[in-house]
Amino acid sequence: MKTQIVLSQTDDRPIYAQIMDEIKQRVALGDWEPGLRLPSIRELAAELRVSVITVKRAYLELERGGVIVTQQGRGSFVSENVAVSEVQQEKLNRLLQEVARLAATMGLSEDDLRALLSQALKRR
Amino acid sequence: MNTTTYPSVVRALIRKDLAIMKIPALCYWLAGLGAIVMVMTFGDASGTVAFILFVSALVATGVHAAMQTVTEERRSQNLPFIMSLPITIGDYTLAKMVANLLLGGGIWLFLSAASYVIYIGDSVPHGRVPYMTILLVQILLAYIVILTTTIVFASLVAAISAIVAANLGSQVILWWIVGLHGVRSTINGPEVVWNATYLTVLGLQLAAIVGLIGFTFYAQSRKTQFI
Amino acid sequence: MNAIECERVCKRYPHFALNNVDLTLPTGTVLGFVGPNGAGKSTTIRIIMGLVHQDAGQVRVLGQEMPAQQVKAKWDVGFVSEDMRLYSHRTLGFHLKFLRSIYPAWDDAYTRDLLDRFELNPEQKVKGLSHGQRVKAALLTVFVRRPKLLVFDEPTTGLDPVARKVILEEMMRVLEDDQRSILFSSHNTLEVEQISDHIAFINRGSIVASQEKEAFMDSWRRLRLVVNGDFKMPSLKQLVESQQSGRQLTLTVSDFSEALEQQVRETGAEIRQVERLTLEEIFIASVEAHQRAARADAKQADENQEIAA
Repeated sequence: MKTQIVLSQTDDRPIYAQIMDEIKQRVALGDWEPGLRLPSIRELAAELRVSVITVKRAYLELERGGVIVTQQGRGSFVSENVAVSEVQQEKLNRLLQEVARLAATMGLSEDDLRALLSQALKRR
Repeated sequence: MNTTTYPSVVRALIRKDLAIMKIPALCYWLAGLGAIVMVMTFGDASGTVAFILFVSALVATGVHAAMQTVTEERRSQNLPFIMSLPITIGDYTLAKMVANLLLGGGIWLFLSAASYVIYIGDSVPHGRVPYMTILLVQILLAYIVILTTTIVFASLVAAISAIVAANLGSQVILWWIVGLHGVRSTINGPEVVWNATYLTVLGLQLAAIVGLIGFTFYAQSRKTQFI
Repeated sequence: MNAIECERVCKRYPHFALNNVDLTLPTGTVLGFVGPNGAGKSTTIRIIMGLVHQDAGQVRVLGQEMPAQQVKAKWDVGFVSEDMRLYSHRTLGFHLKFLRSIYPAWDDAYTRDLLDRFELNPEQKVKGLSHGQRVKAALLTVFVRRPKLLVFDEPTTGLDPVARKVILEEMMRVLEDDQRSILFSSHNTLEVEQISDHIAFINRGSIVASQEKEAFMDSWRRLRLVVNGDFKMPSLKQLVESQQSGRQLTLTVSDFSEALEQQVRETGAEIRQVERLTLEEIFIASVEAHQRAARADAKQADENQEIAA
């Protein structure tokens, strides 16, 4: 299975985190259904031309987060009881944290931030 | 230095060098044949020209092969490609030695045999045969000096020095041999006489050839750097 | 099992020495070997290949002692270096035929497939090929043998981005088989960062760092701080580099941890940002730190000598 994952070299996130996010995204969108078998670590490494250890790390962390399950000798699968909303929630939390950190370094107040958020909500 | 248990690699290396030298070697063989044909057609009158052609073909094959398969291979940075194959330096040396002896030694054997046939069939006094043999073996020895020096040093300067030294050395040795009593007394005789002088010289020459080849393998096995 | 093990390998030349090089490549992984020019990458690689014999130390390749057991090892090793050339007056096909007569498990279909993907014509003489095509041709002569260990010294130098992608793709395909391993040196740190499982830095004949990539990249951080006038720099053993401009202080640290962050915060400095580093940045910082240390040592030695005098 080709995952069609596209990595970015200008992205600040490390490669393993990009792979995790891409996979979470596919699961969250329902493109990858629970029980779907993921490519093996070495297959995905070959497809993405990234090191085996990087993919291994992404898979381990996805497993820790309950997104995938790995069965010894059989491979990795999208978790049967993965809560799609949880995956999305986690991503939202991370982005919010980033926003909070950035706002702090810029010296923005909470009200400034609220105003910016409502503007953003209107734009979409 | 242990040689490989896979003779196929050495054989492949030899075949590769023969393939690389195929066309030039063919040209030199033709030149050698030309020399023989000249002598057989025009007789002694063409002797000098034929002799020059003969020696040229011999030297050209030997020197060209050594330069091409050893010096040039190193200069052109092909050596890492070869040495990364499953071989030791001993295998490499063996392959180079055999390939070159097939090329240079081959044409030497062919032209030497032709010389005998022509000489013995000729009216020239047969007393010259032992001296001619020594002359031919001396040519082979000079070639071995050039070949082994080239293999051990693999540099153009070393090869050229070896060529000059082998050439001058052979002149001196042959001139000295002609002056020996055992040679002077028989060289113009009607019969082939293998006296002690001839046999000693021949023995020394052959020992030198074997010694040089053996020393080459030894020197190669002492190396710790191959590219 | 490890595909390569180097233990305390030394080699002395008149103007250069390799000092106690330790290097390990676990089977099924990629080791990226990075160092400035003249640091000892090629010498180390040549020793691993048995092309140069070490003065001291042990080298095992695929379980075989080098150089003593080099024939056994080299059956399963493919090697390409930047200074290696194919016979220029011959075609690529000549080389393939030659190799085919040596390696019994030759795969014609795979050869054709590789020629196709590398866009190489076996009928063409090597001297007529562009630099990039020559590099690809040399690499092809290794891939076709399906070696268990691939040793590449600067494999992608001089390749255009498209050709480089094809090569990296083929290298990663090799890794789909978990019994095959790759050692490669490169100036292109981005490439090393991308495909290596382990990274080793070499500088002036010594290994400066050698670690699993993810942990290695994770352990380095750049901290951007804002400090007050009375700020006193804590002595951190992890500190590799610091640069100050007015109240802004930038620290580069190895062995980063939460505890370290806390330690910095306790000095009263405000941490504005914590950034990861690229391999290139880590590499330059390590080499510069190593060189500073070497210079300091030399200076110390000089001073000691003066005192002695």
